[in-house]
Amino acid sequence: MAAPKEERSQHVGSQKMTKDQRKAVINDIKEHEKLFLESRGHSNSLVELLEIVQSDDKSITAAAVKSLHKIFSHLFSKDALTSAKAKPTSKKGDSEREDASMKPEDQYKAWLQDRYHDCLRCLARGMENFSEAPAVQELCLCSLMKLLQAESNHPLRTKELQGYVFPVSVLSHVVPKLLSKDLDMKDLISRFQEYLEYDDIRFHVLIQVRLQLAKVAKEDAKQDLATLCNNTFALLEHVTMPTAEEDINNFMCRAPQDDDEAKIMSLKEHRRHFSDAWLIFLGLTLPPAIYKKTLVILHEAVMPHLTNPLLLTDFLTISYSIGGAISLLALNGLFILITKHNLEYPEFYKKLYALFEPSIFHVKYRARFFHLANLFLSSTYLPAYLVAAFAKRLSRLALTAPPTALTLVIPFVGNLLHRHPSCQVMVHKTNGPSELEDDPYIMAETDPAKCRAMDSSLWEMQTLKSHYHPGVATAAAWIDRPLPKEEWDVSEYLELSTAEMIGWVANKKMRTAPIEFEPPKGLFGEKDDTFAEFWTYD
Amino acid sequence: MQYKRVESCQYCSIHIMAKSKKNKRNLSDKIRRNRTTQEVKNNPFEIRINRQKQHILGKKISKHSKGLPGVSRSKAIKKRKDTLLKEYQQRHKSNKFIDKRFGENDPTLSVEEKMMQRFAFERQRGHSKEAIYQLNEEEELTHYGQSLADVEKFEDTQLASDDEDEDGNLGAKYVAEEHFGGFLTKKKAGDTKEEDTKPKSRQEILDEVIANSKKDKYDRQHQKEDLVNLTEKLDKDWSAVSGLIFCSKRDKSTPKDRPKADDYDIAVRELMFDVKAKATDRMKTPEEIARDEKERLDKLEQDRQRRMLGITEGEEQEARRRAGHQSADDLNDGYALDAISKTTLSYKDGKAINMDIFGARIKKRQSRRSENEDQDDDSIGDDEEDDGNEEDDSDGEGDNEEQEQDEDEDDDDDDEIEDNHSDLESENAESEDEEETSSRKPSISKEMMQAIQKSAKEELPYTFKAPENYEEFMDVVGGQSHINQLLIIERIRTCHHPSLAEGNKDKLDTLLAILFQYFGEVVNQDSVRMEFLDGLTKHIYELTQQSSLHAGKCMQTLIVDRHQRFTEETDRRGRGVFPSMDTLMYFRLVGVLFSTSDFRHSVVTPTMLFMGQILSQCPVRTCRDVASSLFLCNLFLKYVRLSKRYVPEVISYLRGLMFLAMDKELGHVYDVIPPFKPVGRHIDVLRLQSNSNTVTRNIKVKPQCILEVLSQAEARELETDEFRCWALSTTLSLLSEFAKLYQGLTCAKEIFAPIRGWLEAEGIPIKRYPDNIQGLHESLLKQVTSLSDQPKICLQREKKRPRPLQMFDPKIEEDYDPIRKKKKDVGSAKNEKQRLLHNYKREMKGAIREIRKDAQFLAREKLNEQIERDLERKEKVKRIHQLLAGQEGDYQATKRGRINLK
Repeated sequence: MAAPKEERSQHVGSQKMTKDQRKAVINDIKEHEKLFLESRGHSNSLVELLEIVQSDDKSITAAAVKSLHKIFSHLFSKDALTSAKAKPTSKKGDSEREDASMKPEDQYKAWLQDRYHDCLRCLARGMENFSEAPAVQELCLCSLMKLLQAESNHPLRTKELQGYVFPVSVLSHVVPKLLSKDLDMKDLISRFQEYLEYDDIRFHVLIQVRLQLAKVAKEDAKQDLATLCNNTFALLEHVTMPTAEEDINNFMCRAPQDDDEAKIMSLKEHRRHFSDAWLIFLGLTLPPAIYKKTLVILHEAVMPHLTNPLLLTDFLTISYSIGGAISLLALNGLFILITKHNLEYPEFYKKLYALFEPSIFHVKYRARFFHLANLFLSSTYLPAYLVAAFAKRLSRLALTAPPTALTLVIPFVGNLLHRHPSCQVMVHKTNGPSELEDDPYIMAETDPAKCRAMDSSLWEMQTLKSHYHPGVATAAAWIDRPLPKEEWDVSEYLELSTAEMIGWVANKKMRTAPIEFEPPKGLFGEKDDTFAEFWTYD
Repeated sequence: MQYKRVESCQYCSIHIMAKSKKNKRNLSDKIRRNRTTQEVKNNPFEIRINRQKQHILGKKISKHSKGLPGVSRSKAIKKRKDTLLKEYQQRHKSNKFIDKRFGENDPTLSVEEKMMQRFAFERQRGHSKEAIYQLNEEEELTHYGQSLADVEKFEDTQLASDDEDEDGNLGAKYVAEEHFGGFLTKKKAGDTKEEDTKPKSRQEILDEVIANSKKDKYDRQHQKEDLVNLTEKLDKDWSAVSGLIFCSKRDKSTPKDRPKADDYDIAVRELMFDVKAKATDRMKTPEEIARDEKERLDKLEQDRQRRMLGITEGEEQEARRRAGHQSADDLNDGYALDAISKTTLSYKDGKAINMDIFGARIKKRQSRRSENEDQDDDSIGDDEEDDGNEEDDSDGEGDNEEQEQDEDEDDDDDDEIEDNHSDLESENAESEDEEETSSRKPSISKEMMQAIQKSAKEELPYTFKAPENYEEFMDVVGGQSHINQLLIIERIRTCHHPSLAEGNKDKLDTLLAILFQYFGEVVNQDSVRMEFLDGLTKHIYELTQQSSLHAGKCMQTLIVDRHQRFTEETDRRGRGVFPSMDTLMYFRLVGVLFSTSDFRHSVVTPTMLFMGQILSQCPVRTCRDVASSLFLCNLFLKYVRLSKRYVPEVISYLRGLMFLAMDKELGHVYDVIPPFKPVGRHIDVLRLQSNSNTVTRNIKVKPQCILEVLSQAEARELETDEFRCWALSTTLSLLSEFAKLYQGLTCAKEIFAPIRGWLEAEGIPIKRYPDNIQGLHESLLKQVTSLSDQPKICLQREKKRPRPLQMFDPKIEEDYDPIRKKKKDVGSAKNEKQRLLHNYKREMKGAIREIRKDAQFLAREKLNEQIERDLERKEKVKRIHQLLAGQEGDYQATKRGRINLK
């Protein structure tokens, strides 16, 4: 009995094979499978198969994978791999010596177990190699998972039959391949997602993820981890955690008995591994796209399942101070930490104030940001100067905002003043000088306490009264009237798009379309036209 | 005695009274009628007074305030005794005796009076109704021996008899003989002898009767036919004869040799029948025409101003109505309202300054108008000259030689093109003239004339079918030169002028929609010339004038469609891409066609939103993007020039374009507004590439050709310093225009602050640019700096004026009568229903009460009866007892007596 050779055999060389050759190889595979299953005398067929499976040709590999799967399923079903002794892990020389001391039956079993591990290795490599043939990748993955199932039902060692033991070996092959550093495994991961529904698989995958990431992080910090991060995120993103201990009842492998008291039954353990996996993931240097995506799902999918969400504080504070869109997104997580986990965050509002930049009206996360800003500023216990600063800054920014944002911002500012009547001096100043040289508000000041917003008035709203969009212009006219009893509902404008705004006009029945009464000289030839200064027409 | 017998026969009849409702009513009615209205002596103890708790002045005292309960009770009992009791007593009787002798039931009449009345009544009965009119009973008036009564029936006896007998009535003779066994006519003895002695059987008699009547009928028909034939014959003969009688006269009157009307006669006749010239309006002098035109334009301008402020006509009226209390003296003629509406305007805008601005603007517009007027007048003069020339041309065409020459010219292509150009120009001039005239009085004839004149030169068909869809239109237009296409469109419009036929307006609407589409198609073609677009625009404009709503709908659909495409594209790419030429030109077309200064406009508002979105989402990548964005900014300037509305996107974008031209310092983060980014590949698109200052300083900034610069096809390399200079100069000029426009805004300083900062810091290496750009730079800086001079007035809400109490004028009622109660609206169904319901309730209550009282009464009567019967029986028993006791007594006495005797 020989161990499989590492180098590939002749007939499955890297060069392109003809159809006939391929057919012949596939027939070979079938033959080997048949022979192996027939009698123990043909055990070396297994070695042949293990060689063939390392082929570059996808159809051959597929066929070989199938037959290997069949063979090992058969072996498992007959408990042919279950041996009483632990598999020797010592060096080859030792094993040979031990082999001699063992009974032939046990020797055979040990040999089979070795081949089984070879097989796992080959299949895992297959997952990696065939990036251009997703079907083969999937086949490898599924076969591995099936073998995992079979192995758990018929463990390799007899003593494992009693207690609850999860065969980790398969996952320790699969997860490192899924979290590849070079290849984008998104498709395979989405296929793998269905296994993550099983509580035991998820549990052990999380452990494996942690181990793998720790290993990678330890190796060296300088390497490019973008693909790894992508893959990890894709994997972790799909993890749906159970919310109660009773929910842990969905096992792919042998379920633990009630008296086992296995860790896998405890929600706390699940959460612990989940937290560990995430924290080590967040410790990596994430590429910006993944960073944003992570922040987007963090508060909903991750934070509720962490053992201690406060562990994210570092990550979130760092994110918050990065600025730009990432800051906006970190707000959400911080908000949960502050409100639910008693995080003390010094100068939170100062930082929030700094987030108000012209770009907030243009970013994708505008709705989320304003939703949160609305929440943060909804407290009536905030000092008036702070609210005034926010109101003034927002209105100043509104001078550059598109109409979609203006429909939101104008009532937003109105609501701020509604909540804090002492800020209404900004629209109705009764004492003090009625005329100022200049706007006392200092836009460049980052501290809301020093920006002198309370001394100013909301002239910006007055300006916006002559905005070109009629809706905006009428909305801005609130400064002329006393505030209404109820606040404006801004939630419906959070995700307003230009198309919707056009729809407001276009969906109404048109009654009149007033026309220009001056007859044109042509498309461009009007008398008072500035066009002629800059353009010629022929 | 005999008399009395007769009387009883006449007046006393025994009526079998089936107990019917009718009779009951009759009885009770009679009694009611006969009720004696005896004055009830008012015994104060019998009067019961319902005390009134409050006395209300002027309230009518209810008739129920006092009553006589005793009297009314006894009255009711009596009434019941007369009616109910009687019925009760007769309940088991089927027959009843009613004495109907006249006056028998009337106790007031004495016997003599009764007799007298009965006699009079009998005499009266002797006279029938007709007898009243018979003055003299025996006399009968006659005429020629016939009774006048008969004559006056005006009956055609002959004709009448026909009809009557056909009904199957039997002859009088037969009736006399046979009916009632013939006893009415005593048969003569001779008759029986003449006839068969044997009496006829009934069957035979009937057959005979039938046969006779048939024969009679046949005879009558025969006679009638004869009569008709004879009449016809007579008529025929008469017509033959009548010709002979009248022929001589006829001949004379035939217009055989009537004198032929000569020219003079015709002229006279014509003059006679000619329609007399009616008095017409005086011809308007040119001044008057100009004034009218000015008034029209003023009205339109006022309209526009109103729309710009976003006030609809309805709202305006509403505002007027709400503005103040409308007095009773208000004539509602709007005389006093102008002032009020003005105050509401200022209140709405919160500033008195606005009014000034408006006033100034109106004045400015007006002055500009008057200038335009002058120009127009001039141009009219020119046009007239043109017309004169044209007539000459058409005269010239009469010559064959000329035509040949034309043909020769056709061969020469260059000449042709030139020719066409000149044609086009003159055509443009003409169409303007046409607009002027057509706006005053739509006349087709001139258009037709022009069409004819043109068509003499071209070989196009004169009439075109109105296209029903785009393909049809393309079939007609495809392959034609641009000039011909315009001509075709014009001819289609002329042929289908709305005043010519019913459905033409719809056809032109379709044409307009097609033209919109065609416009977009044509713009994208490389070969398109601006003249053609101008011509097309004019057609579209005129069609839009005819049906603005339809044009608005078409345009809106187009814009919404384009916007949808743009959004999809943006979503797909993750960033905005400037739309193609046609969309940009549609924007321009919207500006030409519709009133862009309106506060709210169903076409312009979406368009501006779209344009704003483009400016806020499309980053600059190439120089073409720069050109497109400048075009859009320029368009925005045109859109808001009159309304002075604030467009944040434009300022941000122009600022971004400035940024593109700046020399960037490393490490300095410039605050630009998205879609611009402070760092990136495309931040130096507008920086001058040439290193030599002398080269760049000598660049001449020329206007860029709009079609070339904007078109997708890379016909021209834009990435040149010349273009960059142009872009910068346009940016600066536009900024200066906008600064001028927005200087009235409170935040003008803040709006232009970043730009000012850059200008001051000379972020743009302005020394490297040509002099005129340096000048622009300097003037813009000055302008922007001057913006900060304005002091800021702290915001203060308008003091809320106390709301005046709502006052009502007294409601004056005409023909008010304080005494008579106001008549309620009788006719209304609601009142009527209420009244009926009330009546019904009252009656119902009354009826129930009456029935209850009836029942009580009857019970009482029954009890009385019972008591009576019991008494009677007791009496009877007592009597019998007495009798028996007597007898017994007697018997005992006799017995005792006998004993005693013994």
